[in-house]
Amino acid sequence: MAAFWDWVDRSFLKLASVKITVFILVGLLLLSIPGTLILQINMSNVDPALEYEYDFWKFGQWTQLFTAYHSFWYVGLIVILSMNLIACSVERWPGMWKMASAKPVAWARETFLRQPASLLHKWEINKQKANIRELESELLKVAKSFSRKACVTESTSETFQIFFQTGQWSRISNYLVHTSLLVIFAGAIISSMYGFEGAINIPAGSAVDSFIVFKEGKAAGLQPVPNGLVNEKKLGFKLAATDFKVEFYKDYPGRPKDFVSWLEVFEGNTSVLKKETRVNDPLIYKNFEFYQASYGRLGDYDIKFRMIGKKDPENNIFYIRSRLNEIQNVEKLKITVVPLYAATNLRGLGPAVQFTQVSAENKAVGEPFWVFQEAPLYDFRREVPWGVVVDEVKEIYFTGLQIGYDPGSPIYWLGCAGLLLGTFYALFVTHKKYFLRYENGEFYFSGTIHRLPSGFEQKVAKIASRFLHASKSIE
Amino acid sequence: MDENAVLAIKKVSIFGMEISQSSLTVSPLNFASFVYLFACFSYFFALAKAGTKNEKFWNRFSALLIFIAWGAHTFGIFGRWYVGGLDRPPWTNLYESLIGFAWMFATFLVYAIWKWGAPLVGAFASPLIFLLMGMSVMTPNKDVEPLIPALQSYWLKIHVLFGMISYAGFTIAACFGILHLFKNKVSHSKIGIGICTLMLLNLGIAGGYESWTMGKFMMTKTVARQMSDGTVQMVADRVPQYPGSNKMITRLETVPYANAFYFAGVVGFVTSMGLFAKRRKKSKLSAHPEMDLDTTSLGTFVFSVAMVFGICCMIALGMKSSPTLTLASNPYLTQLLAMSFFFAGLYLVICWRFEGVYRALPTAQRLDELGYKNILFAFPFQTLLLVTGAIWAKYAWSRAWGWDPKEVWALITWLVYLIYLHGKLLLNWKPNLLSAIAILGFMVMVFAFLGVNLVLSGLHSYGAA
Repeated sequence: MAAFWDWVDRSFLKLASVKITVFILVGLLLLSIPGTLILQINMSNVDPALEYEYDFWKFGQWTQLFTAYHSFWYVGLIVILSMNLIACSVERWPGMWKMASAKPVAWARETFLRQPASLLHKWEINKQKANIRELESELLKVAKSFSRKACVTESTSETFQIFFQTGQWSRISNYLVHTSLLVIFAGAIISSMYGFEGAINIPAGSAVDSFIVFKEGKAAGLQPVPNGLVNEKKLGFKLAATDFKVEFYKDYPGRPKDFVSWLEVFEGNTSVLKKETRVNDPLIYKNFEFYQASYGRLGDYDIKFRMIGKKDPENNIFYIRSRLNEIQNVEKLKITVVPLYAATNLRGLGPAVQFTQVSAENKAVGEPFWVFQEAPLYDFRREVPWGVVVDEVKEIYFTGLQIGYDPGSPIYWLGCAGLLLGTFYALFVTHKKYFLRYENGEFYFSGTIHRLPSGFEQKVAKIASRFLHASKSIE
Repeated sequence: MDENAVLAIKKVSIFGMEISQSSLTVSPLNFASFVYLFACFSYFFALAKAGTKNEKFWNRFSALLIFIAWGAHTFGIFGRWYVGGLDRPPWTNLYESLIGFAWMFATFLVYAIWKWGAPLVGAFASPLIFLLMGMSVMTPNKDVEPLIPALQSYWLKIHVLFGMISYAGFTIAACFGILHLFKNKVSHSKIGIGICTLMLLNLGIAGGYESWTMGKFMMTKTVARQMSDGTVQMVADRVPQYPGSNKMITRLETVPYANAFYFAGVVGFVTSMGLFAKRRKKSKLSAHPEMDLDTTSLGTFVFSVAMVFGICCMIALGMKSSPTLTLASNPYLTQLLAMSFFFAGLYLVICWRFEGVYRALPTAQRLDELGYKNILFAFPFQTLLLVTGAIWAKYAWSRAWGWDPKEVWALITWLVYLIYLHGKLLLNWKPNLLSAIAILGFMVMVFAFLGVNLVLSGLHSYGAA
């Protein structure tokens, strides 16, 4: 048993090596590439099964190449990376902690003299005039203006030494980065276990109670729709798109400015939530988040028109609202018409609808005819006892919604915040220590930095001049 | 490009004056591109005259050109911002991201020349800026277009801005990396191998699939198309793959005789790589014997570059005879060929005047430090780019991370620099290796920035031409 624990210990030490981290990172880098070059299932518009030849398809299925980022090799490498991160962190913690919580130290005079000339500042004062304790307390005040934890590390009748440091936590801010990465991984795992992603298209004016799921966690717990499609799942409530509007830029045909769905959630028959849903502004209800993603034409129109009898037109106006190919019967006029085609702008002449009259046996009577909204009297030229006026032609769009449930998101956002904070702190803040020594009328001032010394010399010089002035003023 | 895009000349009113949008925004940017080009040539002189008494003049003159171009560039970019309104920052499509990135990079360069005392970094930086600007000049759609709904978010401003900052930092770090390799006396043969690899990569992309399978050097065919506003524009000939298909394919046209030069160039570069790799006897007369090159390998290299020039000549001849063969619809091919000449030229000038260049450069340690400093600065911004991208993607596309190629390549770039930082801070890797990683990281970054949009398809497609 002891041999086993020994082995565990040894392998732990081996895993806790930065060299292994770099190897893993290189591996992760290389393994990230194939997924961007090869079509992925559920990600591209084209199904890899249709695009690639059978042999490659089979190979890809075997190696999980078409779900590269969820494949055993990619996930496995991330697991190894996590283990390595944990091992490294645990292994290095004592040393790092020691550096971060660096206790104030005193330097001997020789240590100052060993510093590079650019970082060492020396000056003298008349030691007869100055009271050493007064000097000490005054200079400590100056030091406290740089760091509240500045302290006197040595104090004898001839000498004193002041120490202060800034940014020592940047030594362990890499822990924040590494922990945050693990937190992000944890959030991603929760999302992939309990979350799901899907989509649904709802024609404006209708409602749905199911959606198509693309990605579903093993514990997502979605209910399938009886007799539905394979990946059709129940919402558990009714989602209606009461209206949809798309607006285009005036000078840029085909470039949408804004598209909005008026969504309404029904539990049974009662409306519980209403929201204008836009791109970048989702509707959230229960676990579901509905994102405005796309829209499309249904090929159908919402048409409002009037049938008017030529005899006594004042009392013979019949308002009708219809879709294309719906048979509209006006009993009083004994006329049945069907809108066949519609256009919101027919060759620059504005909205227009083509109708045909049908007989009681649903046979077309005469020629189909066009009615233009902008020329209301045009239809009355036909030699029949009735006419049509078109009031509104509206194209019916469907709204495309992305549906998602992402229970891990608070966790990975927390991780992201930690990652950012850690990265900025680790790379922009450096641990700087400053030492000031007084000995027999001579001052020595120097500092050390734990990384790139750029600009440090100027900083040391600046602080030294503060001390110089403070000490001269007491003199 | 949106086929329906209208290149309308819109008027903007400034202090009561009516100014056309393009004279306010596109013209200064085009002017800046030309001045950057002059700066590139001027830097060639700065390299050739390094270490002589004229050194200072050429450095200052080149820097002056860079400053002038940067001024015009700034004016153009902020002009676009003015025209588009505060809610529409000038970095929303391919044209604007090219000029925006070039501007950010030029800003870093101006700062580097002014503050860090390494004027020769401009020799490598200015061709890169010019190439970006040249690509933008050739981008057909330069209009200040209004934003589609997915881009109407304040995350757009933040996300892209962070991207530009971090990418500019990485780019200048790569330039310092190159200088560092020269200063650290990495032998010309080794750098020659690197340059040859770059050339082969360039040629490989420029020639593409057709050169190797069909033996034809092809370019995108240009057609005249009437736009919806009645103007006629020369655009790339794109047709549906089959009638009714959504997938558009680009029609190509053969450049007569160019493929012979293409293959001669490829064979030449491969040969010179071999010759560079072969160990040579060192001369005792030279001040830097380890840097000496023999005439055979250098000659082969020059021959290969001449072959690339041959391709250009064939393209020029082809353009004379065929009206559908133009550079306008081949911006990337043009840039690749131009890039080949710039880098071959820089390499040859440095080989020729190594002594002077060596003396003119700051210490190797300083160059290494400058590269490191820039990566240190840019890396947190790359992290910000990833995180803000995730937040925005969550709002716009319902998922924070979807393994979209653009996302993955940004992550790969992040990983390269993560490796750099671990190597530098924890493993004490040699400066030469670190410089090489910085240069490699730059290439990965260029692919993440441009290559993904042009080569791979994905959700970031609004960035494509």
